[in-house]
Amino acid sequence: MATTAAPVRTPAADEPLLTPEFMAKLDQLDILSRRIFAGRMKGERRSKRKGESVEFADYRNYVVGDDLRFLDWNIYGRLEKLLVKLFMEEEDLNVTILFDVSRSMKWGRPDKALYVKRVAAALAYIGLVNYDRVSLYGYSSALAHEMRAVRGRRLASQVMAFLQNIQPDGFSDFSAVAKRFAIRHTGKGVVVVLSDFMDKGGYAEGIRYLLGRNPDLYLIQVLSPEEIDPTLAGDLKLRDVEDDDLAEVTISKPLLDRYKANLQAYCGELRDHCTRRGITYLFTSTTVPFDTLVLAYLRQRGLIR
Amino acid sequence: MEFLAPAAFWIAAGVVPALVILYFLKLRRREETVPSTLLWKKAVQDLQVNAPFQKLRRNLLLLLQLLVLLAGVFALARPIVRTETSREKSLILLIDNSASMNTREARPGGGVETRLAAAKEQALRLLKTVNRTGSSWFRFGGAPQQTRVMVISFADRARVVSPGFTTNTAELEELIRGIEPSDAATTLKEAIELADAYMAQTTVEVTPETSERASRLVLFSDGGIGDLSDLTLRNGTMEIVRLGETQDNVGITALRTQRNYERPEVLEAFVELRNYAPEPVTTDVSLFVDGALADAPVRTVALDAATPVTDGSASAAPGVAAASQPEAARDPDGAAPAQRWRPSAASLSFELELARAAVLEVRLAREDALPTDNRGWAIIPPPRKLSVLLVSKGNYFVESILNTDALPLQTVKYLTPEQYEAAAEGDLAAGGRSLFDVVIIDGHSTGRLYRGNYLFLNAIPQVEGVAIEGEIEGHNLIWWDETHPVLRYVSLEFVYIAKGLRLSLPAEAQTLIDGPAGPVLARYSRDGRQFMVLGFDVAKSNWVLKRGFPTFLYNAVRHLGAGDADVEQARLKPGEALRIPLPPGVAKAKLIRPDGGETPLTADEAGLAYFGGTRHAGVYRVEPGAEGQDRYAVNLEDDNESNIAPRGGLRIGAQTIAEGEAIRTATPEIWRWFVGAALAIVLLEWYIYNRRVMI
Repeated sequence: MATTAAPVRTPAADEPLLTPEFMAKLDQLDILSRRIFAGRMKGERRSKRKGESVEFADYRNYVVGDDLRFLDWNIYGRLEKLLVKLFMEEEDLNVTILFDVSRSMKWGRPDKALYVKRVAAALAYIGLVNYDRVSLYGYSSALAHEMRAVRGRRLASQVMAFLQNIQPDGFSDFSAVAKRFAIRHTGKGVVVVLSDFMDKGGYAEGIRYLLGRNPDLYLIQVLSPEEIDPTLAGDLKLRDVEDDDLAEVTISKPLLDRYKANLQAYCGELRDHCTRRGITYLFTSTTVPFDTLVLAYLRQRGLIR
Repeated sequence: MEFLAPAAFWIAAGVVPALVILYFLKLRRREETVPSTLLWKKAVQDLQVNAPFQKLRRNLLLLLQLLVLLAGVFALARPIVRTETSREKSLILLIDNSASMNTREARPGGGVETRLAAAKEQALRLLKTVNRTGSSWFRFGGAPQQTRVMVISFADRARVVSPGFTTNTAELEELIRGIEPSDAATTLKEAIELADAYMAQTTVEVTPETSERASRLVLFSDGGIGDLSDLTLRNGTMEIVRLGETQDNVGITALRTQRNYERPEVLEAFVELRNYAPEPVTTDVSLFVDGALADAPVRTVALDAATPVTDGSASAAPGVAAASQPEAARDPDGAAPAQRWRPSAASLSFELELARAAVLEVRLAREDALPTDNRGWAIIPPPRKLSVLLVSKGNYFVESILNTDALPLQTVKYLTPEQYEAAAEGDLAAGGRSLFDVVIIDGHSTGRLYRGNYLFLNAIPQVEGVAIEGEIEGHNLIWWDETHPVLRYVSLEFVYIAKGLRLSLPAEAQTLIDGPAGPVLARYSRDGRQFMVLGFDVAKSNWVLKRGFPTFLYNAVRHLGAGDADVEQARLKPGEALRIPLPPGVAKAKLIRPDGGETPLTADEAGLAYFGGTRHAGVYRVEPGAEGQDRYAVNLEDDNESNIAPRGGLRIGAQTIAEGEAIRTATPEIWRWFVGAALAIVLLEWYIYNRRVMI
């Protein structure tokens, strides 16, 4: 669990999500996919298709109608057989980032929503730099904010502005959102979900929908330190920020212990759920600086290189 | 536990609910926003803490605060460790200081103390619970009535230790500490009478308040009280704090010495030992003469274990112990379930040559709990041949008995009545005291009587109160005192008297033989003279023909010749008064007690001094003393005192004495502990609050 006790810096609301220095670091990185997907446009990534790049891939027999330019005349000279040279195709990658912007994310110091937006911005920037097709979806009870299929570095400022302007609102309904996403989003590729996964409806159904397209799926659970180690005390009436649900508690040592044990169990369950389905799961606290998360933890997990 | 100020609990009644209500008020919850109640709800469900009383149960701080509060209230209530407080109007402490209270007991904390010391300690502890409220700074309501306390120590007689009833307990503590042990027997009667008398005095001022609070008598004793069945307790209640555990004791219960009649230089000593312990014991018995080991073998005696008897069978069972069981044991209904022990006994006799006056001491070598009865003393008079004066017109029978060798007589002088009356004083007496050990006056009533011992046959001494009222003819004897030494081995069944005197004697005279018309033989002492009067002429009876007459004459001469001091000496017990004849011309003397202390003595006009302080067993010596009468042996020789087994189930009349509980702690007030506990709990609460061990 990534709970490094780093000094918590609370960024101002209008501060840019990514600093130029950090972006310069991100320039070096690339989003990795453990699988090879077919892209849609020419890109910088190896595709499943055979195509026109300079990298040789295979031979096959000539059939009528094939482009004579790809015949290997040297082979024909030696063996008197007509073989067509096949080359690797390089295409772009679909990088989809789903991030939770429900009310519960606007909570904690540092703010979970801001943290999530920054991570999203960093990942989007990496994708843009590498000519990947980047789609961003901010969701609460529905896909409230979206920016689909942007490509190329020059759109980075638009992406940043888009992220900057999102205000958290509504309650999260992960399964409904995942279903909607699965219907609408046909492209394959890498899908990253950023959320606290504290959804009263559960996460299992949503994950099932997401896996329907067989993407390379990453779940990043972001919790604030107040959630991991509550500092509450006394007799309290706890109000859920999303659905105004009330819980009367008297904070005591055994209760706190029980809460922490429940949290651990919840996160552990999510992790196991992901591991069984080939999903990469990452837990983080907002006290972990997001650049550390991006530059260190995500690299470790193999999402970026 | 009792409380001197129980009103403090009213504070608790107010404060404790207030504290609990404060905790309930605290339940108004603050609202707090959280990103998700998902986990909280789960946690709450897991713990189920929301029910108010479950919450209270889990709330350690409230619990601790309540404890602090209660400890404070308890401290204010001034608890004391005792089953009851002394709320009576008057409290009488009866402290037994008899011989058995000298028994050494193992103290609970180690060491050895006597039962008397334990009794004094218990009495002091009881005293500390009395009148405590008087010095209180914390009191609800008015000052309670003070309890008045009196202390009586008792052994063979009772002594009021305190100056009547007093409320000054501090002064009493000193007086109780000053109670001294004695070796005397235990009689409670006098103490009860004293207490009754004092209580009667105090109830003169009867007010409704005083009458409802009875006097309380607390008896500190081991229960070995001989005279319980004679007692009645007129007012007040009695309880006993019974002391003592051990019963390991072997004692000398009898020591008798006697010179052999034929060979006066041979001394015979008879010793009876009793074992009161429930185990068999062996002990060495040795004789000491004037403090040095005597020329007689040291005997080793094995005694069986004492056997337990129940009250009912104690009186019925034959044996040595049955006759000497205390009165209480012979309680007719036998309801008291107390276990009694019948001691085993052994008798020893020693013979040793001792041709001089001496102090004979018997010692038991065995160490036991009661040392007093391990030693016994006897004063041995010098072997003395008597000088006898016979004043008679000629009595063949008497003369022939005196002339035999059976009586170890030094001199026998014969005078006729006329010669007796005409004799010069120097021939008969010196310094007012007769020169003869025994004067036998046959058929001659006379008034010439120097201090000495007289046997009148068919005559009377002419002293006040003694007279001849007439004659009586032909009668038998009706009753005689067989136990008196003069009549020992004397058979009087078939004695016929042809002609006798009708005697008139003072009331204090001791009748030894009764005839149809009053006393026939009597003993009478007056002004240092001892008379034995036989009211008939032996020549005119068939007694002279029987063996009984010489025996009687023999006994009478020996008995009179030994002097009554000898008789008294034989059985002196602690507490009894000494009657000490001082040598002629000596008005002041001193008495040296066994512990070495001295008491001055003053003779009265008869040349006698009295001493009443024989509190301890041992040899008392007079200096200067009359020859042969300057030493007195005081021996315990008391079965009841030697039997140190503590006895329960005591009864006064029909009433069983409740057994009070012994007070174990010396600091009856324990509020300090509660204050300490409150402090400790406050500290603990602060620690828990700060460390959030459990909030």
